Amino acid sequence: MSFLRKVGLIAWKDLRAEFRTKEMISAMLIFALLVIAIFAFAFDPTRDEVRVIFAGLIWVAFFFAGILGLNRSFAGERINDAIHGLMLSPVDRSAIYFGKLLGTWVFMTIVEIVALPIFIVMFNYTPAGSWLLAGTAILLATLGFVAVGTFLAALTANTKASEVLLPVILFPVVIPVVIAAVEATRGVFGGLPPADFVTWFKVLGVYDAVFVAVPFLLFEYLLEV
Amino acid sequence: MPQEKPAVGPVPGLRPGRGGLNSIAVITFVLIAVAQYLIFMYVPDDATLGLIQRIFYFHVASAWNALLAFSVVFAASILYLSKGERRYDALALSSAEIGVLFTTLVLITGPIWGKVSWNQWWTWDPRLTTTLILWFIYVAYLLIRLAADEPEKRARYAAVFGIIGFIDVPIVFFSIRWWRTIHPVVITWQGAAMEKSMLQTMIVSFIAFSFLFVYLLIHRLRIEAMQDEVAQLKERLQGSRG
Amino acid sequence: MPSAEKALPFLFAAYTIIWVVVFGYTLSIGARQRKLAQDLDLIKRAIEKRAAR
Repeated sequence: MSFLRKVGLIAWKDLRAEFRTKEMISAMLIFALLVIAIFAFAFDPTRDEVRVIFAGLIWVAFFFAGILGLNRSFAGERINDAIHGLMLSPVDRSAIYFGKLLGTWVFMTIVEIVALPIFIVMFNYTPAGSWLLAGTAILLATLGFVAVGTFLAALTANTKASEVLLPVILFPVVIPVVIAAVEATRGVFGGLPPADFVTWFKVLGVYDAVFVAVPFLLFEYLLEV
Repeated sequence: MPQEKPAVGPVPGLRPGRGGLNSIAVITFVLIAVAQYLIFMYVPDDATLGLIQRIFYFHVASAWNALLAFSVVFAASILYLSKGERRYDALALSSAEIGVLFTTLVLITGPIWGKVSWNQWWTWDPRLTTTLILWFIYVAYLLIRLAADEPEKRARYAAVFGIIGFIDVPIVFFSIRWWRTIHPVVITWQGAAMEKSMLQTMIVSFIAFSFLFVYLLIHRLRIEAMQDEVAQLKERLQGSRG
Repeated sequence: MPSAEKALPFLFAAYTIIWVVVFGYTLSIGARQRKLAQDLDLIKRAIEKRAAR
């Protein structure tokens, strides 16, 4: 069975399981909306200054919702010790990594696609710029976050206090994604000339390349029995 | 499965005895004393920054030690994953602890300078901000070690994170730097060209701190070696009960 | 440029903190080693007792 097919199967398994109940996605979505609501109460959303930090707000919401998704990505396997079942199956270990990554990436992107219009409405924000660019930025940033996140979620899944540990070890490492995501989104939505924010796309590109490749190489060390 | 051999010296064959460590301690002490003398008696006040600039020497030397420590963590993590020998894990842990120590010192002395020079405890200066993230990354490294139960798993997970964290550091540094150029802060460390005596003092401080690093590392490694010995003997004790 | 009088206490504080932290860490390593040495001693004696039986 080809590597890609294995990856697809693992991702599909997670996607199908989730779409049956839609538990995790709904929780992530509600959480994202709650974060924004809290921000709205904390910083009067009708003030113009809040528009300036719109990009920052949405990414805070997305990243916190993303952590929920990551926590659950391996939690499901702990029940019934399914992770050992996965490991015993004739699947290359790294296919598990990519499969999980793909699944979580899809989930997080769905949440973002649903939540973003709601945020735009809540803040009376008028995004300028090309949706293609914005979409690319969002996809790249989500990928970077999920790439490291899936890897570290696998790491913490087998430890004590795993749900608390994951954000603590993940957030310092994804700081470049946070910065780049916010700046790229701000640039695109603000209608700034592309030259202003192209650096951030490069940062996302480099980060994604590095942090998909390195976990790919190291994943087998996480799953040794 | 990797063989668990007890921790020996950080480098194959190098196992400083009591005497060796004491010599290093003495050299370190002397060098630091010399550095202190130079810092307080030899170099002149900086023309623009004044007296407080003298923090600079040990502040930068601490940052150097932190970077040195984390490079050792990186190398030791790779070695552990490829060879599975316990001594590399011991080296990584000891170096990480010391690295966090020096990073904390950078984060304390930096704001003290900031408070005096610009009346601001924290400026989002790119280097200091990167140091803050560095602190978080290596505290996370230490927390991972606390969270995993079995020693072998603990070593493996930590090693993996040690590699990821270190690779991340340059990316973090450049991201923050570019971020700061978009939202510039008037206040930075911009060191003007240093006078000769300042350069000399800086170099002495670096050397002194490097020795301090080595001393602390070997001293700390002893703990790992002793812990391994205790574990081994406990096993023997329990074995002989059978 | 901040005056020397204002800066001096801060400079002193900075260096004091450096020394307290480094020294404190060194002492804590020493304390941990002493405790481990005690444990080692206990275990070695227990092994000897066992061997003597």
